Amino acid sequence: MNKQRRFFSLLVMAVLLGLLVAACGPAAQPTPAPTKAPAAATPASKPTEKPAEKPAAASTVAPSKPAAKLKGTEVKIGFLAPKTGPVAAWGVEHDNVVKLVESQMNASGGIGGLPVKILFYDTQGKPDEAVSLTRRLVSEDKTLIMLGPLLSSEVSVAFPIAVALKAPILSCCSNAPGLSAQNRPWGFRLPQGADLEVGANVKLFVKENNIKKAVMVGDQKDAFSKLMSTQYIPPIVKAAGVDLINGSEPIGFNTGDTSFAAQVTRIKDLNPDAIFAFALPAEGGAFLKEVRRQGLKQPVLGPTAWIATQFLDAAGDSAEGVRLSAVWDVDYPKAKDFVESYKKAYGKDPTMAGAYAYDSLYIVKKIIEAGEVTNDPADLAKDWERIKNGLENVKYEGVAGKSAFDKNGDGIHTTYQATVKGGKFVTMYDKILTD
Amino acid sequence: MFFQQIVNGVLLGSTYSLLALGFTLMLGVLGLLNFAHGEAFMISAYVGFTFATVFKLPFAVAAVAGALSAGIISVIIYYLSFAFVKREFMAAPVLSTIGVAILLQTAATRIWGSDVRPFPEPFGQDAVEMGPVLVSLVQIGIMLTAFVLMAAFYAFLKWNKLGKAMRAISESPTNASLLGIRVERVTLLTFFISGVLAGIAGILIGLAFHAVTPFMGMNVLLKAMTVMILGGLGNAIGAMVGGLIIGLVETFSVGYWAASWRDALVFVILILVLIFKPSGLFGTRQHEEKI
Amino acid sequence: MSAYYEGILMAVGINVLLSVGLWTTVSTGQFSFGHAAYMGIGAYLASLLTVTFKAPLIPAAALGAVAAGLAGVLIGFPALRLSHLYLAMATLAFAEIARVIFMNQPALGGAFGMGGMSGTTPLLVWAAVVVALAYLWLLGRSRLGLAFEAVRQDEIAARAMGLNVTWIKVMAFGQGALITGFAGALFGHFTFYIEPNMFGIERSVLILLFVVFGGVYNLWGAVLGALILSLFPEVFRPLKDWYLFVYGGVLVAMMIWRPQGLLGQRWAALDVLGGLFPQAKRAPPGPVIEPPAASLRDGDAGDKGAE
Repeated sequence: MNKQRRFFSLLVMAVLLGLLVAACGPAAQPTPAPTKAPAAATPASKPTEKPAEKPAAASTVAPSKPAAKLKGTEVKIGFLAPKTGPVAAWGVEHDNVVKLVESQMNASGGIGGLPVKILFYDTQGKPDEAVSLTRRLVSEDKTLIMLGPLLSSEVSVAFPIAVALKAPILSCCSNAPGLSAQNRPWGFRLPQGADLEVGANVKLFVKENNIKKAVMVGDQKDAFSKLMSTQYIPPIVKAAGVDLINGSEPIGFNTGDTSFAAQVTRIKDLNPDAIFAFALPAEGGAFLKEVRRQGLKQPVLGPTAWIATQFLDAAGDSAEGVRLSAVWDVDYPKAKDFVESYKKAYGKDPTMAGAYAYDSLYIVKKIIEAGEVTNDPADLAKDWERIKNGLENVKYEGVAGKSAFDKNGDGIHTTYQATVKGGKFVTMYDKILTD
Repeated sequence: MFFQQIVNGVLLGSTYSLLALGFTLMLGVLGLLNFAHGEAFMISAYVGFTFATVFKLPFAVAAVAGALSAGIISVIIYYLSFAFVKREFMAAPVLSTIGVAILLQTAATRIWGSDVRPFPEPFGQDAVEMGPVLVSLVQIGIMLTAFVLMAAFYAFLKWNKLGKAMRAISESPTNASLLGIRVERVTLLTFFISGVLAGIAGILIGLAFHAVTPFMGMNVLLKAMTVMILGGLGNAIGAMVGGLIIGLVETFSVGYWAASWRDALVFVILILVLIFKPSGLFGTRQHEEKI
Repeated sequence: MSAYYEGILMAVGINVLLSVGLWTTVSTGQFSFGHAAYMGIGAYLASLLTVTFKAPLIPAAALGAVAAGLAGVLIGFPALRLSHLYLAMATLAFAEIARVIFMNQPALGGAFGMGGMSGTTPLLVWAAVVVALAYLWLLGRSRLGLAFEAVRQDEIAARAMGLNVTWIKVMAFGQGALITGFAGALFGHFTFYIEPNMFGIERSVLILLFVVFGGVYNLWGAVLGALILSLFPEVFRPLKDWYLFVYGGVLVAMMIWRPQGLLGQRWAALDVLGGLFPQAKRAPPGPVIEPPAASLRDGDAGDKGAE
C-alpha cells in the first residue's frame, strides 16, 4: 500500500521534475550529442552484455518491458552541486554537464535500458544545505547513488551522513587530502588527493630549478589552502632538500583580501629561490600580480585549483610561467567529442570540473550495468552495497583519462605538469608527474 | 622592508579612512549603524567596473558614475531603513540596514556573478623608487586623493553651512530644528554625501588592488567600524588617524607576525577601545558620559 | 520516519533553541550580534569531549553549555558599560575573534574543522527545547523575569527601584549563552562535522533574525520566528537563487511595518491584528536609540560652542 503510493508520488515527482528541467534548461537539451556519446567509454564497458539495446526504448518514458536485469522504471541518480554562492560557476557547469549526460544517455538507451533521471540539487555552497539535501536524496528520493558535493567543506558534512545511512556517494571534484579516508567505506572521490598530485610536481620543480631556499605562502582562511600550506606540502618540500625560510608559519593572507603588499614585501626581504603558494584562484592571481609588481622574478608553484579563468583574470600577465599541475584541459586527446558537445550546447569550453562530472556519471552507468545492481526499490540497501563494491573495483577510461579508486576511496589518475603560456593554460602531456 | 611596509600600511589605511568617514558621519549625526554602507561601496566599484569595461567609457566617467551610484544607493537606504522606520523600536533601523545589505549583495551576485572580476587599470603600473621604497604612481595618486578628500571634508564640516548644520543635528536634532535647520533635508544630504565618499573609496580600492568581488563590502565594513570607534564617533580627524593606524597595524602584523591572527588583532583593538576609551582617540569626556 | 524529515525536525528544533537563547539576552535590552560564538564554543567543546575522550553526548553537551555560559558572563561584564550600538559592535567583534581562535587551534581541527561526532536525535533536541521553554516561561512569570522586563524598559528607573541591574544583565548574558551553547553542541552532533565558518557573522545574523522576525518582546515570538524562518528554505526551495533576496526584503519590510516582530507584547490575537494599524502610539516604551553624543567636533581648537 505504502510502497505503491510512494512509487506513484515518486513517478509524478520525476515527471514534474523532468518537465521543470526541460522548461528551464538553457538552449534546450542538446540533441546532436547522442551520436557523439563517449566513444571512449563504450569499449571499456563492452565486457558486460547489454541486453536489449533497443534504441526504441529511449523514446518512451516507461518501457513496457524493463530490460533484462534492471527492475523499476528508471534509474535515479542524485547530484549535489553549488549552483549559487561563491563557486557558482563550477556548479552551473555541473548542472550543464548533468543535463548533457542525461539526454545523451537517454537517447542511447539509458542505463540498462531504463531512462535515467538525475536529480540535481543546489547546495548553494553551504554545508547546512548539503546536509539536508544529502538526507533527502538518500531517504526521500532514494537514489541509487549520490554524486557530489563539489566543495570539500560540503563533502565534509555530506559524506558522514552517507556513511551513517550506508549509501554510496562519489564526489567528482573535491580533493582536499584525507576526506575519503575518513569516510570509508561509502565515500569516494574521483580526483587524486591533492597532496600526491602537488607533491610530485614539487619534487620535479625543485630539481629543475635547483632550489635551495623557498617560502611557503597560503590562504589561512580557506581550509584547503591552509591544510596544504601548513601540513601537507612543507614536509614534501623539506624532504626535497629545500629550506623554508619563512619561519614556522606560512606567509599568510585571508580569502577575500585584496591587498598583498605587506606579504610580498616580506618575501622580497627574505629573497628566496622560489615561492610555493596555495590559495583560491582569485586571491592566487592577485597575489601573483603583486609579486611581479614588486619586481620579484622567482618561479612560483601553485595548486591545481588555479586552473580557472578567475586566476588568469586576476593575474593578467603575471601568470606567465607559473608552475601548476593538471589532470585535464580542453585539448586532452580523448575529450574532443565531449568538449565539442558541451561547447555546442552551452557556448563555452568545459573545465576540469565538468570533465570529471561527466566521467563520474559514466562510471556510475558502467557499474550499474555491470550486472549486479537490480534497481529494485525493495532492494535499495543491497543495491547501495553493490554499487559501493563496484566503485572499489572499477576501472574506467573516459574524457578525463583513466580512473580507478585506491583503498582510501580517492581517485588514481595520471597528472601532468601545466603552466601558463601566452595567457592560456597549457598542459604538458609529455611531462607526467604521477601515474 | 620596514619603510616599504609603512607605505603599504598607509595606502591600506587611507582607503579604510575614506570608508570610515562616511560611516562615522552617519553614526555621529544620525545615530545609525548602517550595515549596508559597505555594500554601497561595493556597488560603486562594480558600477565603475561596468562602465569602464563593458561600456568602454573613459575612466573618469566610470569613476564619477560609481561614486554617484553609491550616493544614490545611500539615499535609497535612507528611505528604506530610516525615514519610515520608527526609531523607538530596538535597533530597528540597524536590522533594516542588514536586510538592505543582504538585498544588495544578492543583487550584485545575480547581476555580476560571484566571481572576482579584475578592475581596470587605466594608469598602468609605472613605479617610482624612493630609496628603499617602491611606490607605484597609482598608489601615490590614491593616497593623495584620499588625503585631499579628507581635508576637504574636514573643512566642509568646519566652515561650510551645510557641514555646520550636520554638526548641529548631531548634537541635538531638536535644537537644530528649533534653530531653523531643515533636519530631514540635511539628513538626506548626509546620506548622499556619505554614500559618495564610500563610492570614491570603492573606486580607489578597485584601482589599488585590481579586484572587485560582491563580498568586498562585508570584508571592509568591520574594519571601517573599528577605525570609526578608534578615532571617535563623528570625528573626521579621528577617522583619518584611525584609518592609518589600523592600516599600519594590519600591514605590520602580516609582515612580521602571522596573517591568521591579523583580523583578531584588529578586533581586539576594537574591544579594548570600547571598554577603556569608548569615545575613541579624539572623543571628549563629554561623549563618554553619554555612552 | 525518513532520515530527511528527521533531519528537518532536528534542524528546526536546534534553531528554536538558538533563538530562545538569544532572546534571553535580548529580553534585557542587550542586543548581542555575536551569539554564534557561544554556539561554536558549545559545539567545539562538546565535540572534543565525545570524539577524543569518548564521553557520552548529554554530559558533554552540558559541559559545552556551561563553558559557553561562562564566556557569556565574561562578556556580560564589559558589556555593561556599552549601550546598543556599541554593544552591537563589541559583540560582533567578539564573535569574529572567537572564530579566528577556532580557526587556529590544531586540536580543534583548525580551518579544516572537526568531525566524527554523532548522536543527536529529534527526541533529544525537542526534549531540550521543552526544558528550555519551560524554564524561560517560568522565569518570565517570576520576579526575576519581571526584573528583566523592568531593566529592558528603563534601566535607570530599575536601578532606582533597587534592582541589581548589573547582576541581572550579566545573568541574562550568561543564561542566553548557556542555552545557545547547548544548542551548538547538539548542532555539532547533528551535522557530524563542524568548522569555524559555521559560527561566523552570518550565523549570528540568522539567529538574530529569528528573534526579530518573530517578536522581540515575546518568548513565543522567538519560537515562532525560528519555526517560520527555518522552514523558509524548504518552502522556498523553488525560488532557488532568489530566496536570499526575499529574505532581505522581508527583513526590510518588517522593520518598516512591524518592527517589533510578528508577536507583540501579548501574544493574543488582538495584538497581531493591531499590528495592521500604525503602532506609533501603542509602542511599548522600549529604550530609544539616541544618537550617541559624539558630535562632529574636531579635536583641536575649533568651534567650542556652548559647551
